[in-house]
Amino acid sequence: MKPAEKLFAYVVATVFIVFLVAPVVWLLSTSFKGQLDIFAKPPVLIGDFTLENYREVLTDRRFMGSFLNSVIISSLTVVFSMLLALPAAYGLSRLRSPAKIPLLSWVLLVRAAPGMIYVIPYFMVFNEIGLIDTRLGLVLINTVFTAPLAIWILISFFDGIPYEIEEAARVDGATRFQAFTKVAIPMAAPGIASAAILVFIFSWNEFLFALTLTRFEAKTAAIAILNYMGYAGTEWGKIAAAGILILLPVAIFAIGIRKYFVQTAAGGVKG
Amino acid sequence: MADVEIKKLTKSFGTVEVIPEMDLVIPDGSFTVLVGPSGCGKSTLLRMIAGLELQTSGDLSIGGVDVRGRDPSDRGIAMVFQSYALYPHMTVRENISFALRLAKADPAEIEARVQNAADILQLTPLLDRRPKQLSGGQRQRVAIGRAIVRNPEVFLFDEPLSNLDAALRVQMRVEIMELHERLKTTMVYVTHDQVEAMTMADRIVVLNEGRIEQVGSPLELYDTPQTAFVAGFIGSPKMNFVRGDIPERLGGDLLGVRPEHMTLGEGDTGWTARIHLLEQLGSDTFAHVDSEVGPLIVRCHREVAELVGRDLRVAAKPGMLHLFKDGRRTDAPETL
Ligand SMILES: Nc1ncnc2c1ncn2[C@@H]1O[C@H](COP(=O)(O)OP(=O)(O)OP(=O)(O)O)[C@@H](O)[C@H]1O
Ligand SMILES: [Mg+2]
Repeated sequence: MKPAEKLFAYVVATVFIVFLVAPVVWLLSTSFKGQLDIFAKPPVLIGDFTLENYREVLTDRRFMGSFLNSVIISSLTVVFSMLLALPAAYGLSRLRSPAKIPLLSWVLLVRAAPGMIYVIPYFMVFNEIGLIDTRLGLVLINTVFTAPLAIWILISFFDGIPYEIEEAARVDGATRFQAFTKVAIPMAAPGIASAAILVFIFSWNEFLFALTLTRFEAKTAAIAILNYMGYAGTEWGKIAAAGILILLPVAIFAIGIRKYFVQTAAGGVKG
Repeated sequence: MADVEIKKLTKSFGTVEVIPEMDLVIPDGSFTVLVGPSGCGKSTLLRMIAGLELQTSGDLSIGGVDVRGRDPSDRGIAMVFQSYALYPHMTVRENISFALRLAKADPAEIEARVQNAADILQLTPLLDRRPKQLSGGQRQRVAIGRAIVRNPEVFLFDEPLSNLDAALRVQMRVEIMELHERLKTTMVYVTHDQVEAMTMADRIVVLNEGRIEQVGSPLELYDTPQTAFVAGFIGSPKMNFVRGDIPERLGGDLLGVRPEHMTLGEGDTGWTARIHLLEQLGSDTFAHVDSEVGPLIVRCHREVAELVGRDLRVAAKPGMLHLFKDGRRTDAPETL
């Protein structure tokens, strides 16, 4: 790159990062401030350091219950969508048929439609079969939305596995299913990890369905934050502390996923 | 140990006929090389023997057993692929033992067979590495090791050396020949490199556009090519071809003479010629000459360098003429 291009790239990246990171920094700083510092004028970045907000949030039974719900719902969504997406993606990747492209487009279409379209039908059906305000209900609907995403990520990883390796496995005596479980899945492991993490994050951050399809029992952490916006005023310190707690797993996974995105499944084939 | 018998075999992909109809017997214990230009159907034929591709019609038996409809693993074959096709997530030991582990063999037996294969291929120090920590030649040896442990009745190789550099290729060629010496198992080896075919095979099958041109020992193919295609394909540099009046006078339409069966000098018999390029290989010298019958290549001594630029005569040695009519060999006279 020429120096001018380099400068331009750095400027764009910096502006982008400032916009992305500034709210998080503000949230982090607020979560450690007392009520007075939060509204100090002019604003201070680091006020009187306190852990009071975290203590209150972490001992709030209602919030921690929702946090646990989020963990369970997101984990189960990962399991369900992987169980669906792995065979689907493998099958679609190995499919040699003119129907392949239309099938893939359909998969994507489900994903592309705005979630609002689904809210009312799902609400009515869930109401009938007693899935409103249950973890299972949220897991099911999250799976509907995350499985296509996982399929699309996984297909490209399965496409990257040469046919010859699976043919070698068949010559070695593997059944089609064994070729899938013992060769294709381990070789696609980086892709599976990426897909699982993205599914987890999607489900973790999911707001619309969690808001409309739960009341008390199955409420997730993202919704539970709203409890701190009461009639008596908004408890900004607690919101910030709860926000940081919710951000934590996402941040950890985001760092973890980097490694997988650069990793490739090279080595078995020439080169 | 087993032979491979192919009867009236055909193969089409959709409407494209790749192998029109083929009969071929690959004898027990032979090292048979399938050779031919790119796209002639060598891989397709090999993959049908392996069971990775189904024949459109015809019979295929291995060791006298009809293998139609049998899985690749159930045909007594092992295959070495051009890309090696190692399992990247497994160590060398796991790669080699995969087939035995799938077959739920006894662990002690697995260990013994892996060790045996590793000894033969000098892989013992590498057993705990993964494929990406190996060189190209080592990877190819692992692929061969994976084939050996299965004690196949027939080894199938699809251009196993084409991803290696020239020096390594020569070395691996010798290793595979030694392996055949040692195991005496039937080996079917696909290549498009006629030098590989000549040096390795005890039997060569020359394929062209899905048809068998000729089957024979390397020297049979070299000395008495039955078709013009084989004459041009086997041998390096290629056989010289002359068309027109001269072959027609003899009753054919194509006359062939190999470069080493020609003389070049200042005599007064033969076709007039001038050297326009010399290829010095050290052991041999190939003179590219422009003659009255067209361009020819002649194998000479290195002293021929002194003759560059002079008016020369080029002639065929007696008894070394190949005559073809409509692409097939016909009787040629002793001399012109
Ligand atoms: N799956 C397939 N579908 C359609 N055509 C195919 C398929 N596989 C091979 N062919 C065609 O069959 C012909 C023979 O292919 P094959 O791979 O057997 O050639 P080859 O002799 O092994 O050539 P190379 O030396 O390039 O490997 C080619 O024309 C190829 O295009
Ligand atoms: Mg081929």
